[in-house]
Amino acid sequence: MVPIELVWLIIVLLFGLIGVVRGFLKELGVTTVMVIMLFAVTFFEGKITPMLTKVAVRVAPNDLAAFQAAFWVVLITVTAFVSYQGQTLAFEGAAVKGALGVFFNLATGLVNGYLIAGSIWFYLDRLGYPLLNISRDALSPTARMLVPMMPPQLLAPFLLYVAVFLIFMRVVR
Amino acid sequence: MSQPIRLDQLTLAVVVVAIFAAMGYQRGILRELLAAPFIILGPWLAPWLAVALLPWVNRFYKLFLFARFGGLATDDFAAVMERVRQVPPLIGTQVGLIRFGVLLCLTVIALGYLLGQWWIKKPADRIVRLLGAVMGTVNGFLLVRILVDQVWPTQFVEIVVPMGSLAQLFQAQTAAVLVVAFMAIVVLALQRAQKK
Repeated sequence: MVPIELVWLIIVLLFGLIGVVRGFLKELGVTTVMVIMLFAVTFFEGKITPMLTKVAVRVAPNDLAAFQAAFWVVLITVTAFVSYQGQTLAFEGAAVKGALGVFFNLATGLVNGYLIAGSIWFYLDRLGYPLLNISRDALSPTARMLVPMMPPQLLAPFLLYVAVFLIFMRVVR
Repeated sequence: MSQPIRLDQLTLAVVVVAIFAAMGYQRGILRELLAAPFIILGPWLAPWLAVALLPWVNRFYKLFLFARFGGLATDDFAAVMERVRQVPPLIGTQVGLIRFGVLLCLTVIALGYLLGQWWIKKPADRIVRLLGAVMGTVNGFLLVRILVDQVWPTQFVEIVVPMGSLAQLFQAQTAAVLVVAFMAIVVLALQRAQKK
């Protein structure tokens, strides 16, 4: 079986490649949406989780964890899809050419991959991987070390500042 | 739960980060961005490089001694060889190997700084310098986090601080530093995008 940290890394690298193709101006729009979503989720988590548990008890009483995991995965995926698709929050300006431009594109793409894939991994881990049929005990030491570094846990105190910063940068230009 | 904090390491960290911030201001963000991967890669490469280069370092050390004791110009070749054989290798202990690894690590990091100095032009305006100071701070912090326990493991004053976990504190610090680095890169990228 492929280690989950390897799957995560491959997804993040794929997002990096997407970033190289799309350019950092578009990618920063995705970053803004994802950061705002993550801030909202972490800020209102105390209210969301009990409500979600109540709904899960009614809808899927035998699969509480799976229902909750599905909710978080769908929420993050839909937000990512909406932020990538159609009219986006792309920043204004001309694309930077050369190696520096590629670096900016790759960096923002990787950040988006980290935010999206990392958040999904975090919520799956918190609920005990109900959709993947693996247990936390089966995780490698690397995976166990990486889980606390995922965005909802590591970046939680800074999400508001990053969101304000990105909105500010988007507006003042 | 309580955790000890090494006060002298904290002082060292503040001084090193301040020096790197000043260097970053002088060098600009592009040079600092180039140095960052070398700072991250240095500690990963150094142990492997140390083990790989150890036999060669000892061989060349003995070769140097061979030349110093007379080398090929001597009449008594066997005597010179015997003298060389009696000298212990330059790096023969585990501590020596670790020191060699630290030296290699610093060499890799210095290479990152030198490459930036050679390849990338001086910062043109103040914003690039200020962002360089931010990135320099990030680099200094990374260097302290990576190297301080290897270079400065003893002679510290312990104070007991009540907290859940010091690891969590360091993790939060690292997150803050990475967030600041990301913001600096975004500012630079948008500045560059505006110039076109």
